Amino acid sequence: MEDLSKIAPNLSKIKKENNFKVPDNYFEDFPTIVQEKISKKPSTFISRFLFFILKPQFIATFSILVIFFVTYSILNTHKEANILSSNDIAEYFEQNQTDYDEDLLIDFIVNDPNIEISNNSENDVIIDYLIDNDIDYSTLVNAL
Amino acid sequence: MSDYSDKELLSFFRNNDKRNYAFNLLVRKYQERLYWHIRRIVINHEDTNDVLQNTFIKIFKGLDKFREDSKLFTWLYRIATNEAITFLNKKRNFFLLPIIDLESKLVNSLQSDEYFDGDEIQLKLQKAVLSLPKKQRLVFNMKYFEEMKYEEISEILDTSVGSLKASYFHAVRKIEAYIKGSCN
Repeated sequence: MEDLSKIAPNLSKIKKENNFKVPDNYFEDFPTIVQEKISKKPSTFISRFLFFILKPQFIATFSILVIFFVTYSILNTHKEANILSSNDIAEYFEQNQTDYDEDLLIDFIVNDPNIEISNNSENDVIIDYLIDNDIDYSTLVNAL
Repeated sequence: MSDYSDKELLSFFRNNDKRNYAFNLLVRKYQERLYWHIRRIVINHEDTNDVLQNTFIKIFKGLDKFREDSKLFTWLYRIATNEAITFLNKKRNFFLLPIIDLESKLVNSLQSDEYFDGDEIQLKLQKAVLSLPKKQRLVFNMKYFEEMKYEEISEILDTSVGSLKASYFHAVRKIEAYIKGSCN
């Protein structure tokens, strides 16, 4: 490694000099500047807290959180708007009576374990009576 | 520059009455060497000034704990090198830059630096040095420009002499190829 000219002839031709410069009197003034910095009071809790808060990575995290919450609340607002009221549903069925099958709807209600069908015993007694006495439902309606 | 030895400066520093005076002498003794060392890493004068100030503040805070197992100047160089590298890493993170973009940013900063007055070939040499990986750049600067011994660099960078010689050899070969390539 001693003979630079053999392994790097072009590099060894370049004059070794320092082309970096400093402002005038920089090294004369520098010790005083450092001494002043060292003598300064240590930073207060508030300034340290502000520095912590204003760090770029915290700004980035905070921005991401803000974007997330804004997006979430916008989506949520649209979701709520999609919920139809009972009147809307009734109106839809009135206007589109041919679009749904009543039997399917009844099957769904009967088979859905979440829907509780009230046990109307009075109706059962009347139906049983009509059947037992062989009374036709339409005859009865006409008589009334 | 101070004529006091490092041992004398340390002994003054440990005496509360002479503490500030001793530190002032220490800054005067080492500021230039540390400045040029940091400048070759971070390139820009303003950045170098910030890093050098932080380096001396850390030195002031840690000097009481300095055990004279190693030379004072080795310890100072180690702090300066760490500060400069930390500064570059922070800069890269702040601008969300990958390494290659940071190097091109340093080249741009060199070209527009009013405190750099090298001619075309000197600028080419600096660009070649900036194209090196971080470790090779450090070793090349310390060996080629600062003319430090491998043993000293080894203590500062905590790397074996053999590894440093290999890094320097690779750095020289790459710089030679860069200069040769840009001349053709």
